[in-house]
Formats: sequence, structure tokens, C-alpha cells
Amino acid sequence: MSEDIISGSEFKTRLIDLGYKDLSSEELKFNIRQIYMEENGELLKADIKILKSSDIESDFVKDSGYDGIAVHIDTVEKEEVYVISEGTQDLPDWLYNIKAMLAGQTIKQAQATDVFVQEAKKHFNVDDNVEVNGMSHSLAHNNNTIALLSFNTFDNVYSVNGAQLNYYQLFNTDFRFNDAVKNEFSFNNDDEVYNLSPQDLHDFAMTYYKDKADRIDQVISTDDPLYAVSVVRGFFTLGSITMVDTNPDVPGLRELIADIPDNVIKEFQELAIDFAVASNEGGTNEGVKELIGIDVGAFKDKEGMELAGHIIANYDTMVRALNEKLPPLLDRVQTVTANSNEIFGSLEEAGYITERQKEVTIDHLTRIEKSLIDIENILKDNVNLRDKLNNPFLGAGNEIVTILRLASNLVEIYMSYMEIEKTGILKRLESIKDSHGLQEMLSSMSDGLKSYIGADMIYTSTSTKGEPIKVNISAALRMYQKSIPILEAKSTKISNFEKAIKDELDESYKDEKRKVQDEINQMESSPSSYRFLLSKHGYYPTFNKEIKSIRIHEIFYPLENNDFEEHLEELKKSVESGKLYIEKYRNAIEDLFEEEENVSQLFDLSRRI
Amino acid sequence: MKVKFIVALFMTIFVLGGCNMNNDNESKSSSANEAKEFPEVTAFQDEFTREFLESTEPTREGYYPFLSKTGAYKMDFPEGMKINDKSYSIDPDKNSEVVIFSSQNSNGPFIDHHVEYYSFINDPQHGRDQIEGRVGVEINFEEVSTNYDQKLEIAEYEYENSSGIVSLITKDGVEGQIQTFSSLRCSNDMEGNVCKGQIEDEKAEIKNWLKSIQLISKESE
Repeated sequence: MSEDIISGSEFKTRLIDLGYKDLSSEELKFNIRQIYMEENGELLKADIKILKSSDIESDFVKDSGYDGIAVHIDTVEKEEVYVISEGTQDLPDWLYNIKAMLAGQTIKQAQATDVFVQEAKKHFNVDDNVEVNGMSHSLAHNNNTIALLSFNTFDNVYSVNGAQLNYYQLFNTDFRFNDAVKNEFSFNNDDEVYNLSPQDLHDFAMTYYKDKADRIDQVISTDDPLYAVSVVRGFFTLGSITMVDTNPDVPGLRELIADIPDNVIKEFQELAIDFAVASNEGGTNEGVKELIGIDVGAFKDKEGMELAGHIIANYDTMVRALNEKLPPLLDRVQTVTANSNEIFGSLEEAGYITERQKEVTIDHLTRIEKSLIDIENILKDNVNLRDKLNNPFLGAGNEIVTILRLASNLVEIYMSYMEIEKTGILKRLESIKDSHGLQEMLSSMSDGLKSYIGADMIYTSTSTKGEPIKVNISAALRMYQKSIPILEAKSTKISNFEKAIKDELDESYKDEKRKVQDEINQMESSPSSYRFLLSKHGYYPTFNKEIKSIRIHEIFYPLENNDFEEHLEELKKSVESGKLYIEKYRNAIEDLFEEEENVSQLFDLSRRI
Repeated sequence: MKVKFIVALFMTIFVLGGCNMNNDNESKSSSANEAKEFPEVTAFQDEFTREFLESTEPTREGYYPFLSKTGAYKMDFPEGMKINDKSYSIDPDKNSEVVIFSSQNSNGPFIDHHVEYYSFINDPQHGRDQIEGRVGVEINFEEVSTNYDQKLEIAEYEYENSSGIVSLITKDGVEGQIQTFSSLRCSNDMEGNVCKGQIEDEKAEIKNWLKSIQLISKESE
């Protein structure tokens, strides 16, 4: 088979990046041609068609949550479809991440991906012989590969920083795999799969899907948090993998997580399932409520007295719920505080946080722990009493003291949380997020003089002495390209102006002059019809005068102040000098590079897209 | 928003590590008490499964009325089966729901049912293609008449050690579709022939049961 139309990691990554940009179909086509030209140094001679998921049935995107773009490229010699599936963008997507990945559950998005690809093939009128390539980032990788393995939706999948496959997910989706697992491990009912050794299941999944692995290509940053998380049970990394260290300052989180023993991870996974089940039914707040027993949604915006008021109003339910949920939560917090020196110490060592951030965080986590213990003790006493009396409102004095102690503890926790936040540790940890993005990945992809900043292509010139000069070629080409239409628009405006001067001044002067002349001719040729002009000299009885002849001595003054030649000349010159500037700019850039680097050609081509 | 959440996710991993679910025993013992009021069948003894059952009155012998949590469909639920809460999923906007339930300590074939509802898949052809893709072998759907005004298409497949029945349920004027997957297998340590002899009967029973799945149109709610 001949080479793919879109080849090379850089091109593919930039294509996936386009998917996030919310472009119209026309803009997408233009950008694809532009990137093709930048990457390959020649024009893409092909017909491009686009279908966005938002173009099909009105409810599809809303109901499925799937967001993607299908691109059909036809070069006559070769026809291909590229489907760019969007990855994790916002909170709902991350919740889905937790559910689908840790809990090994819903494959809704893979189903939706398949439906979209089928619709796109119908729309482009292509048959099954046309290669369909899935392009994905983040969560979309999980969806695309499940679709490839279960529905054969794609011929190939290319992904950057993908959420890995989960074998529990596939066990519930791919029935041949389901059957093979049951045969291999000699069990009969689906729910027994959770009792198997994760390592055995992992190894079996890797072997089982080995034949399809060469259809999956992945580029992964060692600093990607999703890569770090995929060390936990459930995941297997299938395909040919290229690892890239996109943030050399830090070692990545995977080893930190890899140090957590499997049984702990298993418990965490159970918890994630609990969270998923609850938030499935009632959203995030419900998920958090499952963990701590309190509806945080109801008081997350309240402070001080208002918070205390809310506590009083919902007192009975909160006390009972807290009493039930607090012990396991406290255990978890205590696990953290007991290990906080190791956890935050290694984060500090790895360069993710500063020493001060570490110290403040540990200090306040200890305080939070203390407050939680205090709350637990208050509640234990209180609920026992409550059960005995079977009355939601105990003796008022007793109750007020309890409420005050409870409220002051909750406020303490809140204050400690604020102190931790104030150190900027949360902000600091944000850099982790950048390593999940496409742009950090692109920035670390470079090939000879070519590199990337954002999604733009950069050339580094070494032909001059001294420091190498970096030139944003994408931006330069955009400027070169867009300057011509702008200058042309300016030219048009100038000639419109010229025409307007002619119409409004010269022509209308002639017009008016002609009207006056006509009137003069009229008067001179039929003087008798102007007898009424004599009326002011009286009618009866002396009205017997006539007009025999009218002679008019006319003088037309020439139109003045209508000479705009000079101004127009000036304006026209500005267009010319604009063009000159752009060419100079182009030449300056070209001079930085050798002829064989074809920069000149890129400029020429850029205007033919 | 998303940044905070990612950070929160990491913090949670640390915070939640080493949790212990010590309130499990409590809830189980309380459900055991309640269970006394319910019929003595697996479906009702299981707390999670019970949440889906609408009444303790059987719809017909061996089945109780089941209403999905999306409210998108009803069916008869086999009394000897239990829904696996770990693999159950429903999305917050109720656009999809996957219910997996299995027979327990069976003397005959072991049966797993997957009943999956997707509100955003309308074209029956997509449904048939997806089902065939997931089963991984060529299958032929046949339309079967049902008690309801909807379309039920059934196909069968055979693997080396197990058999399966799949179906697609669609209804004119109702968005979405139901895809079902039922697999039957005989345990290795069981008398092979006894179990295999029951497979055909079980298949007939499943095909009959599939007719009880009823898509609910939004208007008639």
C-alpha cells in the first residue's frame, strides 16, 4: 500500500490539534492544505470534504457527548478518511475518564465514535476499501481503540497522550475476548472477572490483541499524568509506542504511583466505582456525597455564619450521614498524613513543589486530620444520644454546644484548605496538566531545522554568525498569505473612492449644468408660454401685454476643489509600498536559510492554497 | 475548572489510597433484615437488583417486572439472576445504560445477559453492524413478532465452548435502540452432555424472554 496522505507524527499531531480549534469546514480545509504545504513543501493536490459530528442529526452530539471531525481526502490516486476525535476538554470528560478508565465501565463514546464514522462513510460515499484512520488525543484514544478492536471501525489509530485501553471494559464489550478470557481462566459468569489476578489478565489481553497492535500508533509523554495513572490495575498499553520526555525538568509521576501497592489501588478502584455509580445517577455532587456523606453542592459557596446556618438547618441528616461516612474518609486522610512526608517529599524532590509548599501542606493536612477526628468524636456521642431518645432535636443547650463545636471544626478545615491553596501548590501542580496537552508534545518534536511552538512550525537558521535565529514559518506564511487579500481590498477601496469622486462631483456637475441649459433653451424657444411672469404687472382691465422674446446671457463657472489626483496617488503608493514591505520581509527570511531549505518555495506555494 | 479537577484527581488518588470500606458489613446486615419481606428468590435477595424491580408480584412464572433507571424500557426479570453492580452503568443524562446480569450457581448452562440502551443510535443498520462487530463472527438477524408495537431482530452465534443469542430492539417514532447479548456456556467440571442437552431449551426460553423487553415512548410516560 502506498504511503498515507497524512504522514509523520508532527503532521498528525497538528491535525489533532486542529480538531480543538472550533473551525468552520472551510477553515479546516484551508488549514489542512496549509499544514500539508508546510510539512511536505508542496501543495496538496486533492479534493477535501469535511463532516463534523455537529452536522448530523440534531441530538447526536448532545446525547452521546461525542465531538469529532471526519476528513475525506481524495487525490484520485488514493482516497482516505481521517477521523479526529476530541479528547478530554472539560469536567464532564474527566468524570467520564474516571468512570470509563478506573471503573472499566461505559463504552458509550466508543459506540458513538462508530456511529459517527459509519455516518461519515455514508456521507462521503466511500466503501469499506477506503482506509479510515482514527486520530486521537487523551480520552479519544480509549474510544478509538475500543472501536477499532470491537467494531473494526478504523483501519489504524494514531494517538497522542492517550487514555489507555482497559481490559475490564473490553471484557464487557468484545464478546470474543470475553469468551477467550473465560476459557483461559476457567470461569463461567461475567462478574467473576474481578476476582482474577490483574497481572494475568493484563498479560492475557496483551497476547490476545497482539495481532491488532500494529494498527495502533501512540506517542506518549513520560510526564503525562494520564500515562502515570495508567500504571494502575485495569490498563494495558497496546500498539507501537514512542515515549517522549516533554518536560525534562521533572521525572514524571508514574513512578510515584507505581509505588502504591496493588491492594491499595484495588481499594481505590472500588471507591472509584462507588463514586461512578453515585455520580452516574446524581452528578458530581452525588459522587462526593457518596464519599463524605454531605451534599457539598448545597454549601460550597457559603461561608461563616451562612455556613453555620446551613449546618443547623440540615443538622439531623448531616450528622447521621457524616457519622456513617466519616470513619472511612478519616482512614484515607490518615493514610495520607501518615505518609505525607514520603508523598510530598517525593513531589518536592521531583521538582513539582517547593519546600515551603510541602511544609505548609503537611502542617495543614495534620490540622484537617485533627478536626476530622474531633468531628467524629462529637458525632459518635451525639448519634448515640439521638438513637436513644428517637428525637431529632435534643435538649437545646446540649445541641447548641454541639453545633458550635461542629461548625468551628468545619471552619477550621475550610481555613486549612485556604492556607494550603494560598501556598500556590495547586497552581504549581498545574504544570502537570501541560504535559498532557498536544502543544508540549509538539514542542518536543523536532527534526533538523524544524521545530514547533504551539502548533506553529519553527525553522532555526544557522546560516548567520552568532546565536541561531528562530523563525515562526507558519506565522510568516500566514502574514504573507493574508497581506495580499488585505492589500487588494485596499486597492479596491481606492478605486471605489476614485469612482465616487467622478460620480458624485464631476458627473453631477455636468448633470446640473445640463438641466439649467435645458431650461434656458426652453425659455428662449417658446417665450409666449412665460406670459404668467407678467402677472405681477396686473390682470384686469389692462391685461393685454405679451412676451415676444426671451434672451438669456448665461455664465457657468467651472467646478472648483475637485482635484483629488494627489491624494489618490498617495493612497495607491501606500498599497505598492505595502506589497514591497511584504516582499522585503519575505526576502529577509529567505536570506536566513539556504536555498535547498526551500523557504522561498513555501512562500510561493502559500499563495496558491 | 478542568485544571483544578486534574489536580484534585491526583490529590484524591493520594487521599483515597489505603481506604477501607468498613461500613460494608453494616449495610449488608441491614439489607439481610429487609430482605425477609421480599420473595425468596436471588433477584430480590440482592439489594442492587431489587432497586430495578417494580413489584413483588411476578409478571409470569419465574419473572418479575423490571424498569430501567433511564426509564427507557421495561422487561421481565428472571428471578434466579442478579445484576452485577460493578459493571452496571448509566450516564448522567440518561442517554445510555448497560445492565449485565447473570444466573447464579446454575446446574445447567451459565447465562450472562447484557442489555444495553443507547438513545443516540437510531439507524437499525448501525445497531446490527455493532452487534456483529462485537460478536466477531458472521450472524444473520431474523425478525420475530412481539407483543408490542416494535421491531425485534434476533441472531444466534456459536463459539467453540459457548453459544450466544443477540438481539436488536427498535421502535418507530422512538429515539434510540436496545442491543442485547446473551451467552450460554457449560462449566468444564459439569457432566458435559447433561448441560449441553439443556442449551437448546434455554435458548428457546431466552428468545421468548427477549419479547418481554419493551421500549417506552416518551409521550406515553
